[in-house]
Amino acid sequence: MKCGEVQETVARGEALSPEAKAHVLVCTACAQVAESYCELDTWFEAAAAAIDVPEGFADRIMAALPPEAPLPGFWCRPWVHVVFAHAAAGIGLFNLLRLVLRFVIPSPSFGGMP
Amino acid sequence: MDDAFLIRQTLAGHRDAFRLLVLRHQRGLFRFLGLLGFPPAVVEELAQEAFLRAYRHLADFDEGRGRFSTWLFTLARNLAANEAAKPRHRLEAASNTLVAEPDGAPDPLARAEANERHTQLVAALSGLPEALRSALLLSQVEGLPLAAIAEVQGCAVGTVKSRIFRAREQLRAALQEEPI
Repeated sequence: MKCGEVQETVARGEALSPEAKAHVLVCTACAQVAESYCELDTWFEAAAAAIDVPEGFADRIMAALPPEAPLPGFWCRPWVHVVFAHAAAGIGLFNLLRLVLRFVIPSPSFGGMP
Repeated sequence: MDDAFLIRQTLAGHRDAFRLLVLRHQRGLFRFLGLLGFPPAVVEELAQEAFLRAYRHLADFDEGRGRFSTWLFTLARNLAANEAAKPRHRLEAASNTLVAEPDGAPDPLARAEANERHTQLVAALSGLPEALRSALLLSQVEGLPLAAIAEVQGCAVGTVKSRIFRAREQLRAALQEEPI
């Protein structure tokens, strides 16, 4: 087992394989690296555990909430979808009618009589 | 009761369901923001704003795209980035008021040691680039999976892995330079 691989695994914070663990036990350099990362992890745990939520935080949040229930954003509101669907259908219908009328009513530019 | 159920209840007008969401996620959010190096008052301000934004945009939250905690941390991370970019730059080593007394130890010496260790860690952390720091905290402190961190940071999973690796390496090097 190469020291580089073991030290990289330790640095990533990933679990060591049994083979890597056995290597750490006999390799001083890897043992030192593993120990220092272990110390770092302990620091993190202690620092995170020491941070507390201030008393009554949730109450202050609840007091600051707007009185009405949250509404979806403008583009997520159902009526916006309905309006846009109708508008799109209207435009489509208008264009279809225009196309049909273009064939039914001869255009003067193509030699038709107005 | 999972987060999705509480979100649906909140949207149906049951405000107490949102309270449960706050209680469930407040600790994680405080730890994340606290270890980013903001003073306690700013941490509370940012955490409050993150929850209020989450409430205002709760209807836009898409359960299918990820977890509520991932979304909440994304909001908090953006708020923290804006705060850190302010000219007055309130990012600093967290003061002692953020550090609670060690379990059952009102002993001033133990408290001083805990404070010193915390300040040392926060100082070393604040020396890291923001992307590395938040990737490390989300992984190390919150235990978020790599995919969720990638979503929060808007990058690939491989990038997150590399950021965590570099952050841990730099932090270890920085901490080894100072006497404990």
